[in-house]
Amino acid sequence: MTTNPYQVSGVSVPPMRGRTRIMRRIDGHLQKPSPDNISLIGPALYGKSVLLQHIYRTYRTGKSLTGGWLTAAHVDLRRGIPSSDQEFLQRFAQEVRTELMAADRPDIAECIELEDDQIYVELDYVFDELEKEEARLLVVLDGFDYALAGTGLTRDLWDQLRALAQRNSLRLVTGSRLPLLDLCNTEESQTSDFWRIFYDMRVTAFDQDDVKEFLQPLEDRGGLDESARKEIANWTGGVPVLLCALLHKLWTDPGSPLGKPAVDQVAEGMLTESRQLLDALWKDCDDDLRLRISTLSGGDLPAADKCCHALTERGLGRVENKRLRSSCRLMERYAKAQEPEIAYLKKLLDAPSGFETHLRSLLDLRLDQVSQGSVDGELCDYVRKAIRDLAPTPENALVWIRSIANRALHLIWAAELPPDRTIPNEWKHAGVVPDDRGKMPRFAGQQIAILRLISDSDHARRQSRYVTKTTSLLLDHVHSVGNFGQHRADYPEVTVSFGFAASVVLASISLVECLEHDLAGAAP
Amino acid sequence: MIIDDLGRSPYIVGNPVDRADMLFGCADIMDRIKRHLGGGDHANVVLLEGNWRTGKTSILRQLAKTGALPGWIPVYCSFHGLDGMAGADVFKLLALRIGGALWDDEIETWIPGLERTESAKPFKIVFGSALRRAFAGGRPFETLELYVEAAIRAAKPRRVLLMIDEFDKLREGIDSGRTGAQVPENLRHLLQHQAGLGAIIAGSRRLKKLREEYWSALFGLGYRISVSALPEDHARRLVTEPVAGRLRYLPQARDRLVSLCAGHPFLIQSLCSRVFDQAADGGERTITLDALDRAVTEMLRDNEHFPTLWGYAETERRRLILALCHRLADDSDAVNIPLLLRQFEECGVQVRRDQEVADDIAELRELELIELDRSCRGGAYRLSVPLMARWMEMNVDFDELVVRARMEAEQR
Repeated sequence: MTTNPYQVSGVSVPPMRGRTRIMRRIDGHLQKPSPDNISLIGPALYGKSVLLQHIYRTYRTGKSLTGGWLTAAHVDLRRGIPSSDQEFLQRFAQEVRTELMAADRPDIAECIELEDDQIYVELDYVFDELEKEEARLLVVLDGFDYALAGTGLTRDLWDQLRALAQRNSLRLVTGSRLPLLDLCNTEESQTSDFWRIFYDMRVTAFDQDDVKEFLQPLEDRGGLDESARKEIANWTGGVPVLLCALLHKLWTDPGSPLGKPAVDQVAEGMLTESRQLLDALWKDCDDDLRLRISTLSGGDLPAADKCCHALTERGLGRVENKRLRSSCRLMERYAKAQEPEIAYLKKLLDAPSGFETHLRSLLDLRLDQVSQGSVDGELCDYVRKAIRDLAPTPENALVWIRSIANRALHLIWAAELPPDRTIPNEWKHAGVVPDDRGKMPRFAGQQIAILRLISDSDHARRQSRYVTKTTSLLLDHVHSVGNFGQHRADYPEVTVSFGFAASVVLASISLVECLEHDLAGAAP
Repeated sequence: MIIDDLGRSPYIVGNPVDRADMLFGCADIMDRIKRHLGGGDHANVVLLEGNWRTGKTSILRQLAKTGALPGWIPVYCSFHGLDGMAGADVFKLLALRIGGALWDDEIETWIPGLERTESAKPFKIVFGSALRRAFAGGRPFETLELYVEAAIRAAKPRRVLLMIDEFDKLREGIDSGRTGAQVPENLRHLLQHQAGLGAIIAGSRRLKKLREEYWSALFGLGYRISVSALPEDHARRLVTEPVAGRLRYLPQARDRLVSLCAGHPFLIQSLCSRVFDQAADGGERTITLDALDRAVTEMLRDNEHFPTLWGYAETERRRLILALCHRLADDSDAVNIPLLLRQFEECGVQVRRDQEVADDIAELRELELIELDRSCRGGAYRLSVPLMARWMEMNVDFDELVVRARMEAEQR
């Protein structure tokens, strides 16, 4: 039997099939007199990486294409997320250098010395030279979501990339799940103009022509009858990963031509065998979409529904006679199986009292989950009492918060300091001020300030042996709310809501979890 | 293949306009710049002010082309290319760009007093590396001054014209404390005391504000030119001329497109590009109002421009003003400050002083998000760009916005 042409998983990106229409658009935008930077936006598992690889391969050998394309580079940001501007530029420059060498331009490529600290100047020079030659390089940035999820990349980097891409010699193509601006997680980065240099295009489910092209290898092998083609579309809705998985299994069926029974049988099997794929598609939908997919599994919705466009783009719905109906039987069946779970959650949280009662149970369960190890019993006890007192008077829960903060501090100093709580000299050099006996000051506020200092690695090496920044941040927060709880009388105008108190309790549970993790290596 | 029949889209989206045939409505501005730079006695400083995406960079790029400004060597320098925000980084970038531009003009310069090492690398790389050393020590401004003097001498009989783009970045650096507050004064000193040096400083409308603040020393030197929306006839030409013989816009579709974009060149190019794509996909050759409407929907769904402008409004109350300007546009009462104050009261959004709303209005007008329509009922505020209204209809939940504005007011 010949190799299965339908690859669902694996380390390499499979070759592209279908996508004629979007590729025509992409080519149109890259081969016009003044090419655009392009941002491809689409849900997870809809084939963005396949498309990006195809673009890279096409333009890497693109000398014959209109637009003066010298070569292309591919930067996969999903593998090793750059944690600083310098690291990002280094990765970028590395790929540019490699591809320029491969394109037989060592004269320019060798100007990029990856080890030195003026990479931006070198990149600027390279693109300046290429611009003079009216040559152009395409850089494909896959997994932009991953790069933007971190906080290490600053607006300066985006401004620099924008300045480079304003030259005619560089164009960028990015792939991400959401529009780039939505992914930007710092306010400072959002202000960069970089996000506005792109022409956005949606990567959606396959259209009819794409599906037809996708079926070609099966057609060539022995054919499909008309009913099989129809059922393949009905089961998958053109969702790329589902179509590919179904065809992968059909390829192993020796029958020919394949008909509806064969397709139905394989698709039924996918509900269990390919559950991971369905889970992933489901998880990528937000609550609004999930709710509608569930509704569509048993009926229809008005075409004016706010999620109509998102569902049709994903191949999960189609509009007929002004009604939105399901277009993917696999997802429809999967959603039906989720119904009891959704209905149960809905029932639990329907009434406000349900939210309060069940959230307390949830917090209790979560505390059990995180406190199974060697975590301090006294600390857990305080947290449990705070959960208990969340209702009917939420502010009663706050009474326990100070005890939680104090106990956590006690555990931290027991691990970090000798029994007499003498402050080490290194801490003093880092700015820690001990009490007049050279020991840890008595007041919790001072202790929190010290914790902040020793767990911080922004300006100097971290001084704490065990405690990490996240633990310090959580404890800082819990401590400040604890103070507020002790001085409630000073704020007569404030009402403590259930949501406020519950969020602090959840933070306390996370603190327990962090301490469990941080202090695992400390002596008992 | 449809696209081959229609050819490639001529519109330019997101990048500066690099082709003179696509630069509509800027000839007058470029002529004014040339006239001003042609003068002899005064300091040759032009302030090119305009909001984002009005075409400032495109104008600079056209002027930087060989022969566009006889007697000058243009040095394009975008502050987005800074690799640090300290004063020394700013001066280093200026020196790097001057050295590079002169080198391209076959004039070699070097940093006075700095030893030159032999290297097989290209001049600009070696020069960049040398600048790092030169500016690493103390007194970076003096280093720049000495270098600029040497560069001007080497450039004679021509003069050196700095084209500083994205100048706002410097203001942000100063506001955040990353850039020394003396840098504008340093630049003023340089421009005022170096004969043979001129500058075009391009930045957002906020330059106007800066002129009134602590940067007045620098901006007092400059001749101010505003860049804004295109005149209607140029805007219409931008829609139709690039696709003449390929696509035919019905006059009402063309006019509607121009009015939706309020003549803003970036928006016109973006929308025309969507129209072109849809025509290529669907085989249409005549653009009707229906075709335009489909393109508008697609553009607004995938557009980063309006969310960014929404962000620039900075506060929920200002965003609420934008939403109210749109919602109340067709009511019988004019949208003015008293009406907005009444609306805030009805929505439960506290306003401590009426002046705060007047300040918000001034800021939104500065950003060209709203404008005062004097022809309407004694003056009414309305959204400047009708496309923004469409975007808000698709993306803004008014009730949620009211809640946010209310919370923000309570926290003030």
